[in-house]
Amino acid sequence: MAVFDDALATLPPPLRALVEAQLVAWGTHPEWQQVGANLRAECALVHELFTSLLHDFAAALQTDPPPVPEKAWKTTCKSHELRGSAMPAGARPAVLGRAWRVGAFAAAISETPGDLPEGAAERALRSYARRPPARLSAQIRATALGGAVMWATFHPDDTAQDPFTCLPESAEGIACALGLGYHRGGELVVFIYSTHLPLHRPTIADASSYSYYRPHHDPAAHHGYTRPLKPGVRPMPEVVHATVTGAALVLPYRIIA
Amino acid sequence: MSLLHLNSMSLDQLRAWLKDALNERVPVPRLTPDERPDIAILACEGTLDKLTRRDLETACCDLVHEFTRSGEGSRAYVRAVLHLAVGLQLRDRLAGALAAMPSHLPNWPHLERAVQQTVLLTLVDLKAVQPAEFWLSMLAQDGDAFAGAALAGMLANSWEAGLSILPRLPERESFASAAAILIGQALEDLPPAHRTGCLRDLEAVLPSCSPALRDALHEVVEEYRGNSPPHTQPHGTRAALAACRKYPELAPCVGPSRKARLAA
Repeated sequence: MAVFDDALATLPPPLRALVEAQLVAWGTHPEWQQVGANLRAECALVHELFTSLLHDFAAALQTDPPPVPEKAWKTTCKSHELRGSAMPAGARPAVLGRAWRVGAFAAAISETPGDLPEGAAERALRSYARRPPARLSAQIRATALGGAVMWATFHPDDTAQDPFTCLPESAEGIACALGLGYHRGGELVVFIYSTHLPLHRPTIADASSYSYYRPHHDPAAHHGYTRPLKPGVRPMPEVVHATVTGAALVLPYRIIA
Repeated sequence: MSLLHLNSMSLDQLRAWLKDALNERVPVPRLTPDERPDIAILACEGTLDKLTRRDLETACCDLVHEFTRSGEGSRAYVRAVLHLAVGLQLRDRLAGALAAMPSHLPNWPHLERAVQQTVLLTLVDLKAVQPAEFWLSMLAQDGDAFAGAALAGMLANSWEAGLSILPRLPERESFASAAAILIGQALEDLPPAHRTGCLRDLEAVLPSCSPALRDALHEVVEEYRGNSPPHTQPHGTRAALAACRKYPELAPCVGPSRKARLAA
Protein backbone atom coordinates (compact mmCIF):
# COMPACT_ATOMS: atom_id res chain seq x y z
CA MET A 1 0.00 0.00 0.00
CA ALA A 2 1.36 3.44 -0.88
CA VAL A 3 2.41 5.66 2.03
CA PHE A 4 -0.26 8.15 1.00
CA ASP A 5 -3.03 5.56 1.01
CA ASP A 6 -1.80 4.24 4.34
CA ALA A 7 -1.87 7.70 5.91
CA LEU A 8 -5.22 8.61 4.35
CA ALA A 9 -6.78 5.45 5.74
CA THR A 10 -5.98 6.51 9.29
CA LEU A 11 -8.00 9.74 9.00
CA PRO A 12 -11.57 9.83 10.31
CA PRO A 13 -13.97 9.32 7.39
CA PRO A 14 -15.18 12.96 7.21
CA LEU A 15 -11.60 14.25 6.96
CA ARG A 16 -10.65 11.55 4.51
CA ALA A 17 -13.57 12.53 2.31
CA LEU A 18 -12.48 16.18 2.34
CA VAL A 19 -8.98 15.32 1.13
CA GLU A 20 -10.22 12.96 -1.54
CA ALA A 21 -12.78 15.48 -2.79
CA GLN A 22 -10.11 18.15 -3.02
CA LEU A 23 -7.79 15.94 -5.02
CA VAL A 24 -10.66 15.25 -7.43
CA ALA A 25 -11.38 18.98 -7.70
CA TRP A 26 -7.72 19.63 -8.54
CA GLY A 27 -7.99 17.17 -11.41
CA THR A 28 -9.29 19.89 -13.71
CA HIS A 29 -6.29 22.18 -13.22
CA PRO A 30 -3.00 21.08 -14.85
CA GLU A 31 -0.63 22.35 -12.14
CA TRP A 32 -2.77 21.35 -9.18
CA GLN A 33 -3.49 18.01 -10.80
CA GLN A 34 0.29 17.44 -10.70
CA VAL A 35 0.44 18.50 -7.05
CA GLY A 36 -2.29 15.94 -6.34
CA ALA A 37 -0.39 13.27 -8.26
CA ASN A 38 2.80 14.15 -6.37
CA LEU A 39 0.93 13.79 -3.08
CA ARG A 40 -0.30 10.32 -4.01
CA ALA A 41 3.16 9.24 -5.16
CA GLU A 42 5.12 10.68 -2.24
CA CYS A 43 7.03 8.16 -0.15
CA ALA A 44 9.63 10.39 1.49
CA LEU A 45 7.56 11.18 4.57
CA VAL A 46 7.27 8.61 7.33
CA HIS A 47 3.75 7.45 8.15
CA GLU A 48 3.26 9.70 11.20
CA LEU A 49 4.35 12.84 9.36
CA PHE A 50 2.28 12.00 6.30
CA THR A 51 -0.75 11.45 8.52
CA SER A 52 -0.10 14.77 10.24
CA LEU A 53 0.18 16.53 6.86
CA LEU A 54 -3.11 15.10 5.59
CA HIS A 55 -4.87 15.64 8.89
CA ASP A 56 -3.82 19.30 9.05
CA PHE A 57 -4.83 19.84 5.43
CA ALA A 58 -8.25 18.31 6.00
CA ALA A 59 -8.71 20.32 9.18
CA ALA A 60 -7.83 23.51 7.29
CA LEU A 61 -10.41 22.64 4.62
CA GLN A 62 -13.03 22.34 7.33
CA THR A 63 -12.71 25.87 8.68
CA ASP A 64 -15.58 28.27 8.56
CA PRO A 65 -15.78 30.21 6.32
CA PRO A 66 -14.38 27.68 3.86
CA PRO A 67 -10.86 28.60 2.83
CA VAL A 68 -9.41 28.68 -0.64
CA PRO A 69 -8.06 25.10 -0.77
CA GLU A 70 -4.82 26.17 -2.41
CA LYS A 71 -4.13 28.63 0.40
CA ALA A 72 -4.93 25.91 2.93
CA TRP A 73 -2.47 23.56 1.21
CA LYS A 74 0.35 26.14 1.27
CA THR A 75 -0.24 26.88 4.95
CA THR A 76 -0.28 23.18 5.81
CA CYS A 77 2.94 22.55 3.92
CA LYS A 78 4.73 25.37 5.77
CA SER A 79 4.48 23.51 9.06
CA HIS A 80 5.83 20.28 7.52
CA GLU A 81 8.91 21.65 5.76
CA LEU A 82 12.35 20.01 6.10
CA ARG A 83 10.83 16.80 7.50
CA GLY A 84 12.26 14.40 4.92
CA SER A 85 15.01 12.10 6.16
CA ALA A 86 18.35 13.77 6.87
CA MET A 87 21.32 12.55 4.87
CA PRO A 88 23.71 10.40 6.88
CA ALA A 89 27.14 11.93 7.40
CA GLY A 90 28.90 9.50 5.09
CA ALA A 91 26.64 10.34 2.16
CA ARG A 92 26.77 14.13 2.46
CA PRO A 93 28.13 15.99 -0.58
CA ALA A 94 31.00 18.38 0.11
CA VAL A 95 29.80 20.84 -2.52
CA LEU A 96 26.26 21.99 -3.26
CA GLY A 97 25.07 24.09 -6.16
CA ARG A 98 22.19 26.40 -6.82
CA ALA A 99 20.79 28.36 -9.77
CA TRP A 100 18.89 31.60 -9.36
CA ARG A 101 17.63 34.53 -11.40
CA VAL A 102 20.10 37.42 -11.32
CA GLY A 103 17.33 39.70 -10.08
CA ALA A 104 16.56 37.30 -7.24
CA PHE A 105 20.20 37.34 -6.10
CA ALA A 106 20.25 41.13 -6.30
CA ALA A 107 17.03 41.35 -4.31
CA ALA A 108 18.50 39.10 -1.63
CA ILE A 109 21.65 41.26 -1.37
CA SER A 110 19.53 44.39 -1.08
CA GLU A 111 17.41 42.86 1.70
CA THR A 112 20.21 42.36 4.20
CA PRO A 113 21.18 44.57 5.85
CA GLY A 114 19.21 47.07 3.75
CA ASP A 115 21.98 49.45 2.67
CA LEU A 116 22.10 48.78 -1.06
CA PRO A 117 19.34 49.55 -3.55
CA GLU A 118 18.48 46.56 -5.65
CA GLY A 119 19.46 48.24 -8.90
CA ALA A 120 22.93 48.91 -7.52
CA ALA A 121 23.19 45.32 -6.29
CA GLU A 122 22.28 43.89 -9.68
CA ARG A 123 24.67 46.25 -11.45
CA ALA A 124 27.47 45.14 -9.13
CA LEU A 125 26.66 41.45 -9.63
CA ARG A 126 26.81 41.82 -13.40
CA SER A 127 29.98 43.93 -13.35
CA TYR A 128 32.02 41.60 -11.19
CA ALA A 129 30.75 38.10 -11.99
CA ARG A 130 34.20 36.55 -12.40
CA ARG A 131 36.18 38.63 -9.91
CA PRO A 132 34.06 40.19 -7.22
CA PRO A 133 36.01 42.86 -5.34
CA ALA A 134 36.10 42.84 -1.55
CA ARG A 135 33.22 45.30 -1.27
CA LEU A 136 30.86 43.04 -3.23
CA SER A 137 32.10 39.87 -1.53
CA ALA A 138 31.32 41.46 1.83
CA GLN A 139 27.75 42.20 0.78
CA ILE A 140 27.28 38.71 -0.64
CA ARG A 141 28.57 37.08 2.53
CA ALA A 142 25.82 38.75 4.56
CA THR A 143 23.10 37.68 2.11
CA ALA A 144 20.65 34.82 2.59
CA LEU A 145 21.14 32.55 -0.41
CA GLY A 146 17.51 31.45 -0.54
CA GLY A 147 14.24 31.22 1.34
CA ALA A 148 13.41 29.34 4.52
CA VAL A 149 13.80 26.10 2.52
CA MET A 150 16.65 26.09 0.02
CA TRP A 151 16.81 23.59 -2.84
CA ALA A 152 20.25 22.49 -3.96
CA THR A 153 21.89 19.99 -6.24
CA PHE A 154 25.27 18.22 -6.20
CA HIS A 155 27.47 16.37 -8.65
CA PRO A 156 26.01 12.90 -9.27
CA ASP A 157 29.40 11.17 -9.74
CA ASP A 158 31.80 13.09 -7.51
CA THR A 159 30.15 14.97 -4.66
CA ALA A 160 33.28 17.05 -4.06
CA GLN A 161 33.01 18.57 -7.53
CA ASP A 162 31.13 21.61 -8.74
CA PRO A 163 27.81 20.15 -9.95
CA PHE A 164 27.64 22.64 -12.82
CA THR A 165 30.71 21.08 -14.44
CA CYS A 166 28.49 18.20 -15.64
CA LEU A 167 25.75 20.50 -16.94
CA PRO A 168 25.49 22.49 -20.18
CA GLU A 169 26.99 25.96 -20.16
CA SER A 170 23.66 27.64 -20.91
CA ALA A 171 20.77 28.90 -18.82
CA GLU A 172 18.37 26.81 -20.85
CA GLY A 173 20.44 23.66 -20.39
CA ILE A 174 20.81 24.20 -16.67
CA ALA A 175 17.11 24.95 -16.24
CA CYS A 176 16.28 21.80 -18.19
CA ALA A 177 18.52 19.52 -16.12
CA LEU A 178 17.41 21.01 -12.80
CA GLY A 179 13.74 20.87 -13.77
CA LEU A 180 13.28 24.64 -13.38
CA GLY A 181 10.09 24.60 -15.33
CA TYR A 182 9.17 28.25 -15.17
CA HIS A 183 12.37 29.46 -16.74
CA ARG A 184 11.30 31.50 -19.76
CA GLY A 185 14.68 32.54 -21.02
CA GLY A 186 16.97 35.01 -19.32
CA GLU A 187 20.22 34.57 -17.48
CA LEU A 188 20.81 32.50 -14.41
CA VAL A 189 23.38 33.04 -11.71
CA VAL A 190 24.92 29.80 -10.49
CA PHE A 191 27.08 29.30 -7.44
CA ILE A 192 28.47 26.57 -5.27
CA TYR A 193 28.71 26.41 -1.49
CA SER A 194 29.21 24.13 1.49
CA THR A 195 27.22 23.81 4.67
CA HIS A 196 27.13 21.75 7.84
CA LEU A 197 23.36 22.09 8.13
CA PRO A 198 21.28 18.90 7.86
CA LEU A 199 20.50 18.03 4.24
CA HIS A 200 17.03 16.61 3.87
CA ARG A 201 15.41 14.57 1.19
CA PRO A 202 12.78 16.85 -0.40
CA THR A 203 9.13 16.04 0.16
CA ILE A 204 5.82 17.26 -1.15
CA ALA A 205 5.62 19.64 1.80
CA ASP A 206 8.86 21.37 0.74
CA ALA A 207 7.59 21.62 -2.82
CA SER A 208 4.13 22.81 -1.75
CA SER A 209 2.43 24.12 -4.90
CA TYR A 210 5.54 23.83 -7.12
CA SER A 211 4.33 21.46 -9.83
CA TYR A 212 7.76 20.69 -11.32
CA TYR A 213 8.70 18.68 -8.24
CA ARG A 214 8.53 14.92 -8.61
CA PRO A 215 8.73 12.51 -5.66
CA HIS A 216 11.50 9.96 -5.98
CA HIS A 217 10.14 6.39 -6.00
CA ASP A 218 12.69 4.82 -3.61
CA PRO A 219 11.63 5.32 0.02
CA ALA A 220 15.13 4.46 1.25
CA ALA A 221 17.00 6.99 -0.93
CA HIS A 222 18.98 9.71 0.86
CA HIS A 223 18.00 12.41 -1.63
CA GLY A 224 15.58 13.17 -4.42
CA TYR A 225 16.13 13.77 -8.12
CA THR A 226 15.17 16.60 -10.41
CA ARG A 227 12.80 15.98 -13.27
CA PRO A 228 14.53 17.33 -16.40
CA LEU A 229 12.30 19.22 -18.75
CA LYS A 230 13.25 17.10 -21.76
CA PRO A 231 13.53 13.33 -22.11
CA GLY A 232 17.00 11.89 -22.33
CA VAL A 233 18.55 14.44 -19.96
CA ARG A 234 20.13 12.99 -16.85
CA PRO A 235 18.31 13.93 -13.62
CA MET A 236 20.39 15.67 -10.98
CA PRO A 237 20.30 14.81 -7.29
CA GLU A 238 18.47 17.32 -5.11
CA VAL A 239 18.24 18.06 -1.41
CA VAL A 240 16.69 20.76 0.76
CA HIS A 241 18.06 22.56 3.81
CA ALA A 242 17.48 25.62 5.92
CA THR A 243 18.75 29.01 4.79
CA VAL A 244 22.47 29.62 4.52
CA THR A 245 24.18 32.95 3.96
CA GLY A 246 26.78 33.89 1.43
CA ALA A 247 29.44 33.14 4.03
CA ALA A 248 29.07 29.54 2.81
CA LEU A 249 29.55 30.50 -0.83
CA VAL A 250 32.64 29.58 -2.82
CA LEU A 251 33.31 32.67 -4.92
CA PRO A 252 33.13 33.54 -7.70
CA TYR A 253 29.57 33.03 -8.81
CA ARG A 254 28.83 32.87 -12.52
CA ILE A 255 26.18 34.44 -14.70
CA ILE A 256 25.11 32.12 -17.48
CA ALA A 257 23.16 33.30 -20.54
CA MET B 1 1.76 27.25 -14.68
CA SER B 2 1.39 30.63 -16.33
CA LEU B 3 -0.31 33.88 -15.52
CA LEU B 4 -2.57 33.70 -18.56
CA HIS B 5 -5.63 33.19 -16.37
CA LEU B 6 -5.19 36.82 -15.33
CA ASN B 7 -6.24 37.83 -18.84
CA SER B 8 -9.82 36.90 -18.03
CA MET B 9 -9.95 38.74 -14.69
CA SER B 10 -11.58 42.06 -13.96
CA LEU B 11 -9.46 44.75 -12.33
CA ASP B 12 -11.01 44.03 -8.94
CA GLN B 13 -10.31 40.31 -9.30
CA LEU B 14 -6.77 41.00 -10.43
CA ARG B 15 -6.14 43.31 -7.50
CA ALA B 16 -7.39 40.65 -5.07
CA TRP B 17 -5.29 37.99 -6.79
CA LEU B 18 -2.20 40.19 -6.71
CA LYS B 19 -2.56 40.87 -3.00
CA ASP B 20 -2.92 37.14 -2.34
CA ALA B 21 0.02 36.33 -4.61
CA LEU B 22 2.34 38.87 -2.98
CA ASN B 23 1.31 37.53 0.42
CA GLU B 24 2.20 34.04 -0.85
CA ARG B 25 -1.33 32.77 -0.36
CA VAL B 26 -1.71 31.60 -3.96
CA PRO B 27 0.89 29.99 -6.21
CA VAL B 28 2.77 31.83 -8.91
CA PRO B 29 5.10 30.42 -11.58
CA ARG B 30 8.35 30.41 -9.62
CA LEU B 31 11.69 29.34 -11.01
CA THR B 32 12.53 27.64 -7.70
CA PRO B 33 10.06 26.85 -4.91
CA ASP B 34 11.59 29.55 -2.69
CA GLU B 35 11.56 32.34 -5.27
CA ARG B 36 9.79 35.53 -4.23
CA PRO B 37 6.36 35.99 -5.85
CA ASP B 38 7.13 39.48 -7.23
CA ILE B 39 10.18 38.15 -9.05
CA ALA B 40 8.13 35.32 -10.55
CA ILE B 41 5.38 37.73 -11.63
CA LEU B 42 7.83 40.13 -13.26
CA ALA B 43 9.41 37.24 -15.19
CA CYS B 44 6.01 36.35 -16.69
CA GLU B 45 4.48 39.80 -17.03
CA GLY B 46 5.43 40.05 -20.69
CA THR B 47 3.25 37.02 -21.52
CA LEU B 48 0.07 38.88 -20.51
CA ASP B 49 -2.01 40.79 -23.00
CA LYS B 50 -1.69 44.56 -23.12
CA LEU B 51 -4.89 45.36 -21.23
CA THR B 52 -4.05 42.89 -18.48
CA ARG B 53 -0.57 44.37 -18.10
CA ARG B 54 -2.18 47.78 -17.71
CA ASP B 55 -4.55 46.37 -15.10
CA LEU B 56 -1.61 44.75 -13.32
CA GLU B 57 0.09 48.15 -13.13
CA THR B 58 -3.09 49.74 -11.79
CA ALA B 59 -3.58 46.94 -9.26
CA CYS B 60 0.02 47.32 -8.10
CA CYS B 61 -0.43 51.08 -7.77
CA ASP B 62 -3.61 50.55 -5.76
CA LEU B 63 -1.83 48.17 -3.38
CA VAL B 64 1.10 50.55 -2.94
CA HIS B 65 -1.22 53.46 -2.26
CA GLU B 66 -3.09 51.33 0.25
CA PHE B 67 0.23 50.68 1.97
CA THR B 68 1.31 54.35 1.89
CA ARG B 69 -1.97 55.37 3.54
CA SER B 70 -1.97 52.70 6.25
CA GLY B 71 1.62 51.50 6.63
CA GLU B 72 0.20 48.00 6.99
CA GLY B 73 1.76 44.90 5.58
CA SER B 74 4.36 42.34 6.54
CA ARG B 75 7.98 43.02 5.73
CA ALA B 76 7.90 40.36 2.98
CA TYR B 77 4.71 41.75 1.44
CA VAL B 78 5.95 45.35 1.42
CA ARG B 79 9.21 44.28 -0.14
CA ALA B 80 7.34 42.30 -2.81
CA VAL B 81 4.80 44.96 -3.75
CA LEU B 82 7.39 47.76 -3.88
CA HIS B 83 9.81 45.66 -5.90
CA LEU B 84 6.99 44.88 -8.30
CA ALA B 85 6.30 48.61 -8.61
CA VAL B 86 9.94 49.20 -9.53
CA GLY B 87 9.88 46.39 -12.07
CA LEU B 88 6.70 47.76 -13.64
CA GLN B 89 8.33 51.22 -13.76
CA LEU B 90 5.62 53.01 -11.83
CA ARG B 91 7.74 55.96 -10.67
CA ASP B 92 5.47 58.70 -11.93
CA ARG B 93 2.43 57.21 -10.23
CA LEU B 94 3.98 56.26 -6.90
CA ALA B 95 7.06 58.30 -6.07
CA GLY B 96 5.10 61.18 -4.52
CA ALA B 97 3.11 58.95 -2.19
CA LEU B 98 6.19 57.00 -1.10
CA ALA B 99 8.26 60.13 -0.51
CA ALA B 100 5.45 61.59 1.59
CA MET B 101 5.30 58.64 3.97
CA PRO B 102 7.99 59.76 6.43
CA SER B 103 6.32 63.13 6.92
CA HIS B 104 2.64 62.32 6.40
CA LEU B 105 2.05 58.84 7.76
CA PRO B 106 1.33 59.17 11.49
CA ASN B 107 2.62 55.72 12.33
CA TRP B 108 5.78 55.99 10.20
CA PRO B 109 7.97 56.06 13.33
CA HIS B 110 6.38 52.78 14.45
CA LEU B 111 6.89 50.87 11.23
CA GLU B 112 9.56 48.17 11.25
CA ARG B 113 12.95 49.60 10.34
CA ALA B 114 13.23 47.08 7.50
CA VAL B 115 9.95 48.36 6.05
CA GLN B 116 11.11 51.97 6.29
CA GLN B 117 14.39 51.03 4.60
CA THR B 118 12.48 49.31 1.80
CA VAL B 119 10.41 52.46 1.18
CA LEU B 120 13.51 54.65 0.95
CA LEU B 121 15.47 52.21 -1.20
CA THR B 122 12.46 51.94 -3.51
CA LEU B 123 12.61 55.70 -4.11
CA VAL B 124 16.19 55.24 -5.26
CA ASP B 125 15.37 52.22 -7.43
CA LEU B 126 12.45 54.11 -8.99
CA LYS B 127 14.98 56.83 -9.87
CA ALA B 128 12.70 59.31 -8.14
CA VAL B 129 15.28 61.93 -7.20
CA GLN B 130 14.46 63.51 -3.85
CA PRO B 131 16.04 66.79 -2.77
CA ALA B 132 19.03 66.74 -0.48
CA GLU B 133 16.88 68.03 2.39
CA PHE B 134 14.78 64.89 2.24
CA TRP B 135 17.77 62.60 2.64
CA LEU B 136 19.32 64.75 5.34
CA SER B 137 16.09 64.52 7.30
CA MET B 138 16.15 60.74 6.91
CA LEU B 139 19.71 60.64 8.21
CA ALA B 140 18.59 62.72 11.16
CA GLN B 141 15.85 60.14 11.88
CA ASP B 142 18.21 57.17 11.81
CA GLY B 143 21.76 57.73 10.69
CA ASP B 144 22.52 54.02 10.72
CA ALA B 145 19.52 52.27 9.16
CA PHE B 146 18.99 54.91 6.47
CA ALA B 147 22.63 55.52 5.62
CA GLY B 148 22.62 53.43 2.44
CA ALA B 149 19.45 54.93 1.04
CA ALA B 150 20.60 58.44 1.98
CA LEU B 151 23.97 58.03 0.29
CA ALA B 152 22.36 56.61 -2.86
CA GLY B 153 19.75 59.37 -2.78
CA MET B 154 22.34 62.12 -2.35
CA LEU B 155 24.52 60.70 -5.13
CA ALA B 156 21.44 60.81 -7.39
CA ASN B 157 21.40 64.56 -6.72
CA SER B 158 25.07 65.06 -7.45
CA TRP B 159 28.52 63.69 -6.78
CA GLU B 160 29.21 66.61 -4.46
CA ALA B 161 26.04 66.00 -2.46
CA GLY B 162 27.03 62.36 -1.96
CA LEU B 163 30.53 63.28 -0.83
CA SER B 164 29.20 65.87 1.59
CA ILE B 165 27.56 63.27 3.83
CA LEU B 166 30.33 60.67 3.85
CA PRO B 167 31.85 61.97 7.11
CA ARG B 168 28.46 61.52 8.82
CA LEU B 169 27.92 57.93 7.82
CA PRO B 170 28.17 55.04 10.27
CA GLU B 171 31.14 52.97 11.35
CA ARG B 172 29.67 49.66 10.28
CA GLU B 173 31.53 47.25 8.03
CA SER B 174 28.40 45.99 6.29
CA PHE B 175 27.49 49.57 5.41
CA ALA B 176 31.03 50.45 4.35
CA SER B 177 31.07 47.81 1.62
CA ALA B 178 27.68 49.00 0.33
CA ALA B 179 28.90 52.60 0.34
CA ALA B 180 31.98 51.63 -1.62
CA ILE B 181 29.82 49.93 -4.24
CA LEU B 182 27.65 53.07 -4.55
CA ILE B 183 30.63 55.42 -4.76
CA GLY B 184 32.34 53.18 -7.31
CA GLN B 185 29.24 53.13 -9.51
CA ALA B 186 28.81 56.89 -9.19
CA LEU B 187 32.40 57.35 -10.33
CA GLU B 188 31.77 55.11 -13.33
CA ASP B 189 28.79 57.24 -14.28
CA LEU B 190 30.82 60.44 -14.29
CA PRO B 191 32.11 61.79 -17.59
CA PRO B 192 35.70 60.53 -17.87
CA ALA B 193 36.99 64.09 -18.09
CA HIS B 194 35.58 64.83 -14.62
CA ARG B 195 36.67 61.64 -12.97
CA THR B 196 40.15 62.70 -11.94
CA GLY B 197 38.93 65.81 -10.16
CA CYS B 198 36.12 63.93 -8.46
CA LEU B 199 38.52 61.23 -7.35
CA ARG B 200 40.70 63.95 -5.77
CA ASP B 201 37.64 65.26 -3.94
CA LEU B 202 36.92 61.75 -2.64
CA GLU B 203 40.49 61.32 -1.42
CA ALA B 204 40.26 64.67 0.33
CA VAL B 205 37.20 63.61 2.32
CA LEU B 206 38.48 60.16 3.32
CA PRO B 207 40.32 61.31 6.46
CA SER B 208 36.98 62.58 7.82
CA CYS B 209 35.23 59.24 7.35
CA SER B 210 34.88 56.41 9.83
CA PRO B 211 37.74 53.87 9.69
CA ALA B 212 35.63 51.10 8.12
CA LEU B 213 34.30 53.45 5.46
CA ARG B 214 37.75 54.88 4.82
CA ASP B 215 39.18 51.39 4.22
CA ALA B 216 36.34 50.37 1.91
CA LEU B 217 36.53 53.58 -0.11
CA HIS B 218 40.29 53.28 -0.31
CA GLU B 219 39.80 50.13 -2.40
CA VAL B 220 37.75 52.16 -4.87
CA VAL B 221 40.35 54.95 -4.97
CA GLU B 222 43.13 52.47 -5.66
CA GLU B 223 41.16 50.95 -8.55
CA TYR B 224 40.65 54.35 -10.10
CA ARG B 225 44.02 55.92 -9.44
CA GLY B 226 45.24 56.57 -12.95
CA ASN B 227 43.26 53.56 -14.41
CA SER B 228 39.88 52.85 -15.92
CA PRO B 229 37.44 50.83 -13.75
CA PRO B 230 38.46 47.15 -13.56
CA HIS B 231 35.40 45.67 -15.20
CA THR B 232 35.83 47.90 -18.26
CA GLN B 233 39.43 46.83 -18.83
CA PRO B 234 39.84 44.77 -21.96
CA HIS B 235 40.26 41.05 -21.45
CA GLY B 236 43.99 41.06 -21.82
CA THR B 237 46.58 38.43 -21.04
CA ARG B 238 46.76 39.44 -17.37
CA ALA B 239 43.03 38.98 -16.97
CA ALA B 240 43.15 35.70 -18.88
CA LEU B 241 45.99 34.33 -16.76
CA ALA B 242 44.18 35.32 -13.59
CA ALA B 243 41.12 33.49 -14.85
CA CYS B 244 43.22 30.45 -15.75
CA ARG B 245 44.66 30.22 -12.25
CA LYS B 246 41.15 30.10 -10.89
CA TYR B 247 39.72 27.97 -13.70
CA PRO B 248 42.40 25.55 -14.99
CA GLU B 249 39.97 24.33 -17.65
CA LEU B 250 40.48 27.71 -19.36
CA ALA B 251 44.24 27.16 -19.69
CA PRO B 252 44.09 25.93 -23.32
CA CYS B 253 42.68 29.36 -24.24
CA VAL B 254 45.92 31.06 -23.28
CA GLY B 255 48.91 30.19 -25.40
CA PRO B 256 52.60 30.42 -24.45
CA SER B 257 53.93 33.88 -23.70
CA ARG B 258 55.57 35.83 -26.49
CA LYS B 259 58.91 35.40 -24.71
CA ALA B 260 58.41 31.62 -24.55
CA ARG B 261 57.46 31.48 -28.23
CA LEU B 262 60.53 33.47 -29.21
CA ALA B 263 62.74 31.22 -27.06
CA ALA B 264 61.33 28.18 -28.83
